[in-house]
Amino acid sequence: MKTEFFWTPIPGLGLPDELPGRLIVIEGTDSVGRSTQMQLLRSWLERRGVAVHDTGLTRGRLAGQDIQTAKQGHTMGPRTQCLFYATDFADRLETEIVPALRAGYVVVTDRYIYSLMARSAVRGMEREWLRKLYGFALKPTLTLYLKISVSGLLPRALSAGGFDFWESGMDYLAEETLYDAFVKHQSALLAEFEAMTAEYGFTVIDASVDVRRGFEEVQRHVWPVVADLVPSGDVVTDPLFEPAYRPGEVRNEDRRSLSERVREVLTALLEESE
Amino acid sequence: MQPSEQYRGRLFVVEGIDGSGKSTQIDLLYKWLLARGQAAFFSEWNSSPLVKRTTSRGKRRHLLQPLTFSLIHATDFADRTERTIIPPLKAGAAVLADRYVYTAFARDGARGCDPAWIRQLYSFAVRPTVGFYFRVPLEVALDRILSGRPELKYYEAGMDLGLADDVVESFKLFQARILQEYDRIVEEFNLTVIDGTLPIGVQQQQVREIVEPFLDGLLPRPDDGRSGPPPREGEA
Repeated sequence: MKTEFFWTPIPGLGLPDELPGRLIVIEGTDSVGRSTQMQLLRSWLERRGVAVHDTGLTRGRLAGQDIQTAKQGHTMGPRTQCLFYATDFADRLETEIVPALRAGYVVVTDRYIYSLMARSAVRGMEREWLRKLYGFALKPTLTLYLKISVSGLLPRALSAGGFDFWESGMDYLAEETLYDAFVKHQSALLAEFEAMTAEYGFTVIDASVDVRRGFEEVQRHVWPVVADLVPSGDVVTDPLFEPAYRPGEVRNEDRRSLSERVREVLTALLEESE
Repeated sequence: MQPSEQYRGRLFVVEGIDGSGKSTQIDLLYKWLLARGQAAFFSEWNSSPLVKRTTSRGKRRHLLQPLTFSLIHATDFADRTERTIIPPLKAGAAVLADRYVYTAFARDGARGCDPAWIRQLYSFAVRPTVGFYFRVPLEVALDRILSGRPELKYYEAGMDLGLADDVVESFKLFQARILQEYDRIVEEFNLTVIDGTLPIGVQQQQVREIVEPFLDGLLPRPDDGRSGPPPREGEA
């Protein structure tokens, strides 16, 4: 992938113009199904011999833990919260994502600067300031935006354990119930994502359909950007979940259709019984 | 930066390299304001209790790179702005800050961060009523620091930049870089320069004369003699 930043490069890193890895971003609001898609994507790529590194927000070693602690106390102002997240993101980008990209991994990240900007924007931070703040971020190879409506989100949020304080924006909203806050906060977040879709060229994945169909879409978009990293040789398939989507690789066993194989087996059985 | 005129209070900040004498001057200013019956509120660089753990972990384990060093200090500054700068300014107090955004501009600039990016990052800061810069030659500052406190910390000495293997040597080179950055900043932001080589009392006299016209109508201090937290000991 090309080493490109949104605005200004990370100081002191001295990156080459090209990185051997790929950066794939899975974006979308809370409980839209990002982690399921990530797991499927990871095992699909790994079975094909592609090295995958996955990562997510607030998992950084520098500030990740302290952000969680600070959230317990609900004591952060919006700007402080925003910059705390930015610190954690910068640490993860520099010490985890960039080294993996340098080593040729496909880095799949659960959320990127877009979620961080959306969260801060709905809490009143200026959009222009946010875009410049995150100007040090690498431009991803592909951003898959899992799109859903608030009504589509409700059953997922409920089955994931109900409405969460932060996912309902209760730190800044003054709504009567968690439900009201959730709807208001999530609608605002979705509007931010919607606005960013054209601006950043998101690839939109319909997250309202079932997981399998959603994943077929994911595969269809991921394949072209990783195809050159796939080693030749047999594909080890997962008997429990072999994705329906078959990328354009041409292999002998793929050419043989299922009916052909059935015919072979039946012929063999018939020969035996004769 | 945000205009300070929207607040009833006044914001006075001091800047300069380590050993410039700025902390001494703002401490004297603070006591003078209290003695005059003014409500003075002290806000210090690197003072957010919320961010402190992350900053000290990062510094202890040398986890900070120029970008994260810059961002963690911006986080600290945002918390400080939201808690200890804007509220007392709204209340009409005199707010004193030992180091302000210019410290970030100088240090992060010396660490290779893009100056335009840093300025944009701190654009939410309130512009000070008066920004003092205590100018001293590099040798004077180095002598003040190195003669009294030989135990230099890793980031303080700019060891993360790999300028020199020796801590003292690295500190000298790093301070020289910061001084260069300050020279640009003083012009860019029109800071009020005080000659930091003058006797302490003479400098304080100048500081008071510059501050005094801005003190009319500020909040008085309460009768019990207390007003805001006192300055902490030592350097930020």
